[in-house]
Amino acid sequence: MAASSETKGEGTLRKAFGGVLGFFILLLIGAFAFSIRLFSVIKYESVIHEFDPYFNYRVTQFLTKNGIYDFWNWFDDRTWYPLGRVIGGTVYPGLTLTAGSIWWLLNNLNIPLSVETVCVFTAPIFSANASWATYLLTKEVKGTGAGLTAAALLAMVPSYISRSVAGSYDNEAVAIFALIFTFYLYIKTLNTGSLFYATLNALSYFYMVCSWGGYTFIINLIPMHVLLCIVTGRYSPRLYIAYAPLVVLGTLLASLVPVVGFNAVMTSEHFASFLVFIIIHVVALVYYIKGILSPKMFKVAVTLVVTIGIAVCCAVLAILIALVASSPTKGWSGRSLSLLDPTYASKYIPIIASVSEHQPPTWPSYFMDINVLAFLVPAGIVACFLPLSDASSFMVLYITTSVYFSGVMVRLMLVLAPAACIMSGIALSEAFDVFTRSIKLQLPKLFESPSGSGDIDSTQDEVVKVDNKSATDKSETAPKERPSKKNRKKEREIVETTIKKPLNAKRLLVLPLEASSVAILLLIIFGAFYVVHCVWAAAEAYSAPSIVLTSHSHDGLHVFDDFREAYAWLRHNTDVDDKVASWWDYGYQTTAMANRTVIVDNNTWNNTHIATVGTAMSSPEKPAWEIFNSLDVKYVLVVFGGLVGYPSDDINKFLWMVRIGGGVFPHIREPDYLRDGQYRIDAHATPTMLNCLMYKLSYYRFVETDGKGFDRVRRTEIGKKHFKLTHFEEVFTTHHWMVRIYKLKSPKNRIRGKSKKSKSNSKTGPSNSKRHSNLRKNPW
Amino acid sequence: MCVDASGELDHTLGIDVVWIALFLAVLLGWWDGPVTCALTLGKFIIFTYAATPISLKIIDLYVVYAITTAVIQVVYMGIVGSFPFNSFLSGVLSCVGTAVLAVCLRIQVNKENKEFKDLPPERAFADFVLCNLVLHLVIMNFLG
Repeated sequence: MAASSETKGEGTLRKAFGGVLGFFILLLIGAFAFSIRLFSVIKYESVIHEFDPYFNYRVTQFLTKNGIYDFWNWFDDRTWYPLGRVIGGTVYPGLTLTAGSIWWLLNNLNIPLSVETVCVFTAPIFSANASWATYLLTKEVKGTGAGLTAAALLAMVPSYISRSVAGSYDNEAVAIFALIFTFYLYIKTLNTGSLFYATLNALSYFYMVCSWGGYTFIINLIPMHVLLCIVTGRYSPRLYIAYAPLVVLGTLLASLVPVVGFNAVMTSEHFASFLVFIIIHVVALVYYIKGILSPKMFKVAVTLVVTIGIAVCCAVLAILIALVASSPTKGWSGRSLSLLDPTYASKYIPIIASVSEHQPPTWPSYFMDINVLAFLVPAGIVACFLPLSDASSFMVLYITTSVYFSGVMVRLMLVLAPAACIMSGIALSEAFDVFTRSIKLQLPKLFESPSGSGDIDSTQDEVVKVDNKSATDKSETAPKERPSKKNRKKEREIVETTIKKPLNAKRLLVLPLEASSVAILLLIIFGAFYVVHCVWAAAEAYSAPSIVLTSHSHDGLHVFDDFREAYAWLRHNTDVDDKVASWWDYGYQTTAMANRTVIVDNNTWNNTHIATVGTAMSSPEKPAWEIFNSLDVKYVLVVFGGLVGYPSDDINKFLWMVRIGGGVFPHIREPDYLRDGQYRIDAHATPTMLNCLMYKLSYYRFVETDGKGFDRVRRTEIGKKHFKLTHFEEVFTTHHWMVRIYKLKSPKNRIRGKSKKSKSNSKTGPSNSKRHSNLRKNPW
Repeated sequence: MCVDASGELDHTLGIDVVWIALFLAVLLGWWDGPVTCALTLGKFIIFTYAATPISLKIIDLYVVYAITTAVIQVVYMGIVGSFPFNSFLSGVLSCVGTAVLAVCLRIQVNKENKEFKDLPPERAFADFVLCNLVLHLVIMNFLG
C-alpha cells in the first residue's frame, strides 16, 4: 500500500507538472499566434489594409463616437448616392461591436488607445483566442496532446494568417474564433450531456451569427452530423440535449441580428436544421416507446405507426415542395447557390463571378495555404476512425465538407484551415504516441541485453485507445523519459503516453527501435519545414497592406503611397458635399479616408447602380458626362498603373465594367471593345475602345511622360496618344500617376439673344456670319 | 399480429370510459380488426405510462401544456394573420423552446437513464432554469 501511494503521489506530481507545462505551452502558442501576424506593422506601419476593412473601420469610428443606439439606427447617406445604405440592417455587427467594446473597456481603464490601433490589432488577438479554442476542441476529440499540436499548427497556418494579419480588420478575424469555439461547445455538450454547455453553445452560435455570413455553415453542418449519428445508430439522449435547444435558441438568437432577421426561418439555408429537429424528435419518441414496451408490442406499434406516418409525411412533403418551388431560386440566396453549384455565379450574377476571391483555387494554392497539413489530413482521418466516437465522426464530416467548399471558392480555404489543423494535430500526436512508446518500451531491452535491441513483434493493427484521465504506468522499470523530449514543443504531455498493463485485452502497437527514432526525427524535420514556410508566407506573401506598395530597385526601396495621396487631396481640396464617382472597388476607401460621398462601393448590393457607373465608364465622353451629371457627380476617380506597372488598375478591370454595364444596358456590347476577341489598347484597338471614357481618363497626357506612351502593364504603346478632353478636366494626378482625378466641366452658359451655331446658320443670313466667326467655337 | 395485453391492469375510471366508448364504436362495425389492435396497444401504453414516477409526469404535463399553447398561437395566427411576425415567432418559439428544455430536464432526471446517474437532479434543474432564463431574455427582446 505504501508503495502504491508513493507511486500515486508520483503520478499526481507528474500530472501536475504536465498540467503546468501544458499551460505554459498554450501561453507561448498564443503569443506566437499574435506575433507572427505583426510583420506588416513592422515592415510598413500600423495601417488598415485592403478595401473591406476600411468600411469596418469607418463603422467602428461611428460606433465609438455616437454610441450603440445611433449605430443600430444609422442610415448612411455618404454612399450609394442617391440611394443611401441602411448600415444598421445590412452589416454584420459582431466585429465592430467587439472592437468597440475593447476600445471602450481600455479607455475606461485609462489606457487611451486610438480606435485605429484597436482595429488593427483585433485580428491578432482573436487569432490567439482561436488557437486556444482549437486546443479545447481537439482535447474533446482526442486528448490534450493532440490539442496542443493542433493549437500550435493553427497559430501559424498561412491560410488563416492571410485573413487575420494585423491590419486586416475584416469579419473573418473574429468569425473563425467564433466558429471553432461554437464547435468546441457543441462537442463538449455532446460528450457531457450538460444543458449548461448547451446554453453556452447557443450563445456562442449567436456570436457567430453576429460576425459572419458563414454561420450558415454551422447551422447546416451540425444537423448533418446529428443525422449521421442517428443513421449510424449512435443516437443517445446527449445528442438530443446537444441539438434540440441549439435549434430553438439558435433560431431565435439569429433572428435578433438585423441582417438575418426573418431569414432565419424563411430561407432554405435553415431548413435543414428544422428538418433534422423534427427527425430527432421522432427518433427520440421511438426510443422512448421502445424503452417502455415489450418487444412484441413494439413491433405492433411500429407497423401501425409506419402506415399512418408515411401518409402524413407525404402530405407534409407535398406542401413543403409546393412552397419552396414557388420561389424562383427555391428559397436559396444567390450566395449559397453559387457555393452549391459552382457554375451558377458565372451564368447569372457577374458581380459575384468578378471578385477574385470567389474563383476556385488552384492546386498550388492548397500547398501554399496549408502546406504540410495537406499530407497529414488523410492520416488524421484514419486516426479518427480508431476508435470512432461522436466527436471524431463530427471532425470527419467537418473536414470533408470544408474540403468541398474550399474547392469552390478560394476564400473558403479559411474554413478548411481549422479542420486541417485539427486533423493533422490528431495524426501527429498519434504518430508521436506510437513512436515514443516503442522507444520507451525497447530502451530497457537495449540496456539489458548488449546484443542489440530485441524486437517486440509488432502486433496486428490494434491501436491503444488514448485515455485522457489515466495515470502513468507504475510498473514500468524503464528510465524516465529523456529530458530532451520534454522540451520539444510538439511533444505530447507525459500524462498522455500511457502504457496499459499486459492484463488489458488490447495489444500494443510497437515498432522497431531504429525505425521509431528515425521516424521521430523525420517528423520533427517535417514540422520544421512547416514552420519555416509559415513564417515566410506571413512575412512575404500575406503582409502587404495593398494601400501602400513597395518595390525594390537598384537605388533602394520605393514606396508608392499614391492612394492615400489622392484621398488626402480629395479631403482637402473639395467641398464636403461633393460626389465622387469611381469603380466600386474604391468606394469604401473613399468614404473612409477622403470622407466624400460615393456613388457605388464594395457592398455591391445594387447591380443596376453599378451597371450605370460601368456604362458611363464605357461610353464616349458626352454620354458619360450626361450620366454622371444626372447622378450629381462632381469628380471622377480613376486608377491607372501604366506608368509604374501596377497591374490591378482600372484598364485591366475594364472588361468587367463592360460586362456588368452590358448586363443592364444592352447598347454596351462586349465585342465592340475587342479586336478579334482580344482586348487591346494599342493602335489596333477598336474605335469604341479608343473613344470610351475609361481609355481617355487613363491615358490623358500619358504621352508626355516618355514621348511614346508606353504602357508598362499592357506592354504596348497606346493607340490614341494626343487627344483633348472636352467634358472633363484633370484636377489631380498623383506622384506615380496611379490615381487620377477629373472634374466634370459645367455646361456652357446660354447667352440671351445668341442662339446655337448649328441652328442659326440655316436661319440667319450672312449678316450674322461675321458675328459667328468672331465667337469661339461652341464645344457642345 | 394481435396479442393480448397481459399482466395486472390498473383500472382507472377514465381509461374505462374511453375503452368502452371505442369498444362500442368497433361493435357498431365502423372500424375493423386492426383498429382493435391499436386500441389494445394504446391501452397498454397508457397503463405502462401510469407506472412512471410522479415527478416525470409533472414534467410531461408541462410539455403538453407548452405544446398546446404553441398550437393555439399558430391557429390564432392562421385566423388573424401574421403581421407582427416577430411577435408570432417569439411566442411560438418560446413555447417550443421551453418544451424542449423540459424534455431535456426529464432526460437528465429520469432514474432509468444510465448515462446521467452521476448528475444530481438539483444540478439538472439549475441548468434548466438557467437555459430558460436565457430563452426568455431573448424572447422579451424579440417580442417587440
